[in-house]
Amino acid sequence: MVGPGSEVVLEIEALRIHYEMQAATIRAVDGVDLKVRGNEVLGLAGESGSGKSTLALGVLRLLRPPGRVVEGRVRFGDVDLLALEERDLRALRWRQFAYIPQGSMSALNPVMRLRSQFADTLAAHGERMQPAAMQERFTEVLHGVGLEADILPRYPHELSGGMRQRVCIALALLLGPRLIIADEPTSALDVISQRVVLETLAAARQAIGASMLLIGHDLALLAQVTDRLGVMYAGRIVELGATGQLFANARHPYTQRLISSIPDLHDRRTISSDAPEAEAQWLLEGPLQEVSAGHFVRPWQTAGETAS
Amino acid sequence: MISRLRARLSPTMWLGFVLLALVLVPGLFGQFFADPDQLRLMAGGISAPPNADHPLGTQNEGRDLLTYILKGMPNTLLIGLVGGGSAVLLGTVLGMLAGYVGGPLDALVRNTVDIGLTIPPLAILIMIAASFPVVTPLIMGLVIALTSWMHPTRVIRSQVLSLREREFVLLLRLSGASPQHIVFRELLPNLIPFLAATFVNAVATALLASIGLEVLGLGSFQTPTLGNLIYFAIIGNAMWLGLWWWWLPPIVVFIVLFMGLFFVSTALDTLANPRLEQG
Amino acid sequence: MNPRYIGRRLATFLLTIFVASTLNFAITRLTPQDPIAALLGRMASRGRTVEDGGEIVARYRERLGLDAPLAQQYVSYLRDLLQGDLGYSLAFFPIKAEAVILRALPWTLGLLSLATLLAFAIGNLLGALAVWPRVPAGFRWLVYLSMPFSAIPYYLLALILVYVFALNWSLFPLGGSFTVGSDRGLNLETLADLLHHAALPVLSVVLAVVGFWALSMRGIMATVLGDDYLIYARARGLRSRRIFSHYAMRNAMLPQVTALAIDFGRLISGQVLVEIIFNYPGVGWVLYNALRAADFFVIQGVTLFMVFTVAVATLLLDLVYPLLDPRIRYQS
Repeated sequence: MVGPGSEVVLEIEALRIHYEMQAATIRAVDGVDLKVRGNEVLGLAGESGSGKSTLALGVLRLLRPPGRVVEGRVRFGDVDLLALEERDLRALRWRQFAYIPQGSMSALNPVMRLRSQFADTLAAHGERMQPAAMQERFTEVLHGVGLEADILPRYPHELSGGMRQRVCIALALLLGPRLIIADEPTSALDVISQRVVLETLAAARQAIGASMLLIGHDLALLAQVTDRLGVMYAGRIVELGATGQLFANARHPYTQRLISSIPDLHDRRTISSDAPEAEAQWLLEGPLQEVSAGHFVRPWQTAGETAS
Repeated sequence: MISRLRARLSPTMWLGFVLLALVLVPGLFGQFFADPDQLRLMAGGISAPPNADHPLGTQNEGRDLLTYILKGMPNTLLIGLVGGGSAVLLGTVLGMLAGYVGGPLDALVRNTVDIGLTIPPLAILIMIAASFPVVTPLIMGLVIALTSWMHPTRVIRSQVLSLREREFVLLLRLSGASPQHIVFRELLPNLIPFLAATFVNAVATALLASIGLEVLGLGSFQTPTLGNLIYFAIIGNAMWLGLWWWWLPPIVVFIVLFMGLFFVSTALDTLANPRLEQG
Repeated sequence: MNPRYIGRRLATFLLTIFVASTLNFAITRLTPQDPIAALLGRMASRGRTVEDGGEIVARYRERLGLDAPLAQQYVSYLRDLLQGDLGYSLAFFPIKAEAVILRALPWTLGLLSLATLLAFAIGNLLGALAVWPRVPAGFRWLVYLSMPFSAIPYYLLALILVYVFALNWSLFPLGGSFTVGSDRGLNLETLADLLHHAALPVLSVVLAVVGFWALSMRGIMATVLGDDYLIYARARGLRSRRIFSHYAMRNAMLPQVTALAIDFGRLISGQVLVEIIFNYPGVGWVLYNALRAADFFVIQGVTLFMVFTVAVATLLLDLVYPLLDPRIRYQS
C-alpha cells in the first residue's frame, strides 16, 4: 500500500461562498483553506448546513445562483480552477477530477439507459471506441464496484439505492481521474449498505491511486477510510489533523462534541441545539493554529475559558 | 391577507388593472350615454367611415357602430362574468367536497373531470346553442359554465388536498372542530388567491367560448354583443369591402380585455404560488 | 408495455366517446323544442327562410324517429353511430353527412397537425432557452413578446393577419386551400401552393399558442436546471448541447406532453373558427355552412368528429407516453 505523497493535488485558499438573496446573505463557506495531497483521502465532517456540500460544489464550479464564490482561489495542480474558461474547465472535468454526488438517487438521468449515460461520459471527452471496447471498459469499472455488466441496458429506477450509488462510483472511475470529490456518497443508504459502499469506494480509489476529498456527517464512518480529517462548522474549518490524532486528541469543543455524540447522530439529533449560548463563542477570528505536527485548531472561547 | 395583497401588487397586476379599466369603465357606464335611436336602420349613411356624427362610422344598414359597441359591451361582460363565475362556483363546491371528503365521491368527481376535460367544450356548446331557440346572454353564460367547470374543480381539488394534509388542519380535526368550521373558516380563506386566479381564467375562458359561438352565428341576434358584431362584419364582408371601422374596433376591445385578464391572472398566480417568482 | 396500462387507456377512450355521444343525444332531445324546429326558427330570426321548410321538418322527424319512445330513439342513434351512419346532409342531399365531413377531413387534420407541432416545438424550445444559462438575452425577450399573443383568441388574430398580409400587402391568398384551376398534380408547385394557402391559418394558430407553451416550459425548465441529474451531467463534462437535448429537454418535455393531451380540445375548437375566417375547406368551414343551412346531421356529425379526434389524439399520446418516460411502464 502506497501512503499519501507530498505533492499537492488540490489547494483551496481563503475560499468564501455566499448565497446572496434579497432578504439576506448567507455565508455558506467563510474562509476555508485546505490541501489535498497525492493519493490521500481527506475527510471533511460537519452537520448539514455547515457548508461542506457548498464547498464541494464551489470547488467543482457547479454552484447555481444565488450561490457565488466571492473570494479565494482553488488550484488544481498548477491551474487556477476558478479563473478557467468554460471550455478548458470542461476538458479537465472527469478526466482530472470526478464527483460522486450526494443525491445519487436522483443524479442519474431517469429517462436514459445506463449504457447511454456511461457512453455520454466517454464521448464528452473525445473517447471514440468500438462498441466491444466500450463494453469491456464499462464491465471493468462495474466489476470494480461489484456490479455486473447486465445492468447497462437498464434504467436508473430499476436499480436499488445501493446499486445506483455503486453506478456513480463506477462512473467516477471511468476516466481514471487524479481526484475524486465525494459528497456524502452514502447518506441515502441504510447503515449496513453505507459501510459496504464506502469500503467499495475506498478500495476502488486505492486501485487507481487517485486522491479523494470525502465529505460526510458521520465521523465514525469517515474515520474508517480517511488519512486526515477536517471538521467544519458554520462555514469554517475548526480542526484539522491526521484521523487517528484527531480522535485521540480532539481540542476544539465542537470536535469533541461530534466525537462524543457519535451514537446520537443516528437519532438525528442536532448538536448545536443542545447549547446555543456556548455555540456563539465557538468561532473566534484568527487563523488556524498548529498545536502539534499537522494538527490545526481554530481559536474558540467557552464560558470562562479561552483556548490557545 | 389584505395587507399582504396590498404589499405585493406587482407592476404586472397594475398593468392588468389599467387594461381592464380601459374596457370596463366604458363597458359598464358607456351604455347610459348611448342613444338607442342610433341603433335603428339608417341612423346614418350606409357604411360611412368615422365622422363627427358617428365617431366609429356606421355599418351596412346605417346603424351607428359606437352605440352598438357601448350597448354590446355590458352584454358581453355579463356572459363572461356569469359563465366564469358559475364555473368557479360549481368548481369550488365540487373541488372542496371531493378534496375534503375524499373516498368514492372524490373518485367520481375526479373521473368525471378527467373525461370531461377531453371532450372539446365547443362541440357540446354548439349542440346546446343550436338546440335552444333563443340564447340570451344570461343563458349563454350558464350554458358555457356547464362545459367549463372541470378545470376549476381540478385546481381547487388539488389545493384542498394539499391543504388538508397541513398540520393546522390535522390539529383542528383532532381538536374536534366541525367539518363546516374547518372548510369555511380555515380552508376557504387559504384558497382565496387561488380562487381569484381561477376566476380570472374562467372569465377569459367563458368570453373565448362566447365569441366562438357568436362568430359561428349561434348568438342571440336580438341582443347586441361584441361577438355578434364580429359575426355580422364577417357576413357583411366588412374586411373585403375595406370597412375597417366595422370589424377592427370590437377586436381591439377584445385584445385589450384579454391582455388585461392575462396580466391580472399571471400576477395572481405569482401571488398564490410565491415559488413561481424565482423561475 | 404493460397490458393493464393499455387496457385502462382504451377503456377511458371508449367511455369518453360514449359519454360525449350520449350528451349529444340528450341535448338535442331534452330541449323544449325539437332540434329541427329550433334551427329553422333561428334561421327565420335572421330573416332567412328555407324553401319547403315543412317538408324538411317532416323528413328530419322521420329520420330522427322523434315520435318513437326516447329509449328506442337512443338505441337506434347509438346503432347508427356504431355503423358510421351520420344521416343525410340536407344541403347536399342525397350525399351523406359522413361523406361531407370525410371530404373536409384531410384539410383540417393537415392544418391542425402542422400548426400544433410547429407551435409545440417552437414554444418549448423558446421557453427552455429563455432560462438556459449563457443563452443570448434575445431569447428571453422573444418569450416576453410571445406572451401577449397567447392571450388573444386565434380567430381574432386571424382576422388581423388576413387584413395585413393578405388584403393590404397581398403576400398571401385571402382564403381557400389551393389556387382554383391549378392542376394539383403531385409536384413541388402543388406543395408550394398548398403551403402558401396554409401559411396564414397556421401562423395565426402558432402565434397564439407558442406563448402558452413557452411560458409553461420556462417554469418547468427553471426547476429542471436545479435537478441533480443536470448538475451531475455538467460535473461529468458533457457538452452543453448534449445536456440540453438529452438531459434537460427529455425530462422537461414529459409534463408538456401530458399538457398537450389536455389542450387538444381547445386547439381543435380554435381551428374550427380559424377555418371560417380563411374560408379553408376543412371541417370548421363545413360546420359554419351547415349551421347557416340548418343542416342538422352535418352539425351533429362535426361535433362528434371533434370529440372523436380529440379522444383519438389523447389515446395516441397516452400510448406514446411510456416510450418517453420509462418509469410509467412498470406502474400498474
